[in-house]
Amino acid sequence: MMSLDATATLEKPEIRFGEVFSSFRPLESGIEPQRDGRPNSIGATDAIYLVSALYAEASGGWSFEFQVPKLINQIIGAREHEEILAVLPLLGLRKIADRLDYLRDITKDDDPEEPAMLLTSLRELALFFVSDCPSWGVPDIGICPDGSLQAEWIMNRGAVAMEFLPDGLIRFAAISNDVVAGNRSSISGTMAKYPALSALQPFLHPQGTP
Amino acid sequence: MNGDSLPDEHRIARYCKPSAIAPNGLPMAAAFELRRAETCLSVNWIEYFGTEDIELALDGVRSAFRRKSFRLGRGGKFAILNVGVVKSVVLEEAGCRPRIEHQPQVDDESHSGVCGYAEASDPEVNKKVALGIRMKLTDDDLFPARGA
Repeated sequence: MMSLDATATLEKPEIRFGEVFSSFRPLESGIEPQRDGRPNSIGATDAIYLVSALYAEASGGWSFEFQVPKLINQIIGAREHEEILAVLPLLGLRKIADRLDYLRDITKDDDPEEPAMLLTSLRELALFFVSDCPSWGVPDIGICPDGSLQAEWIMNRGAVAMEFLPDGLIRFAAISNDVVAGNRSSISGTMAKYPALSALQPFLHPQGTP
Repeated sequence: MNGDSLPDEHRIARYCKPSAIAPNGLPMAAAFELRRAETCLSVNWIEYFGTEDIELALDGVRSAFRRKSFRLGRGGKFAILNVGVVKSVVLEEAGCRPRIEHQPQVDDESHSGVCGYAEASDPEVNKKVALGIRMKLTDDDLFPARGA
């Protein structure tokens, strides 16, 4: 079991890599709550190890590995939207940062009737893409009527919408579009991240398809 | 008249804010979600304006938004939806038959509502219906909020 303390001292990334990689798969039986009682926060620590390992490997041991925990802590402790938006490109999430920046601008400047982007929802979304996001490609990101951020993947075979609630849970809906096979199905729910990902996985990656 | 059901073959327009328009120009499901306190999805009845010209009808909707001092954001869109299609989506995703009814307002006479699927305040059903509506849309159903 990995440490849940996001400020923990890193061991050598190459030693931890295999362990971390396996922990990234959606857990089938859920995960234990964090020390502070929040439903699932292992992702931030996962990200510290995984991203550190990847960057250390790619850069031949460059000290970026020691910056990643600091950057993730900056997301966790951010008191302003801009702090999070500034960190995401440094973690390789430039497209997502640009989109969030645009959304922030239009809600702040262009249209005062637009719902304000909730900082707590932004934090949850940012941590999700840093640590937990499956390989579904870059989603569309928008703002729900009450200010939460929502990521949506619309593909030929199905669609998934995930709303990042301020309490760390994900409210989701998914609809398969398997018209040829005639087995259209849909689900919705509100769950912690990993159970939600497990429930949604078949809608974008049905068994037997790459 | 207030409360009249709209015929299945008629159309309704839903204003989609810029924050719920994807970079490809299509609305996201978020554009069709109810706010927490809402019980009906606000739309405008296109055939109310008595014209086949969709742009003329939308000009009527735009005027109503201006009279109500509702801002049409740069990058916002109107999505045109068929009443019968919306009913079938709600039936499929929420398991109930919605009412799509005329709800005229003083400054917005074509105002209408898609009602009857969120009485239980179930945000998950709300999201699933919104995603179902989104999946029915194509580029041809979209018009700029501020007009040409």
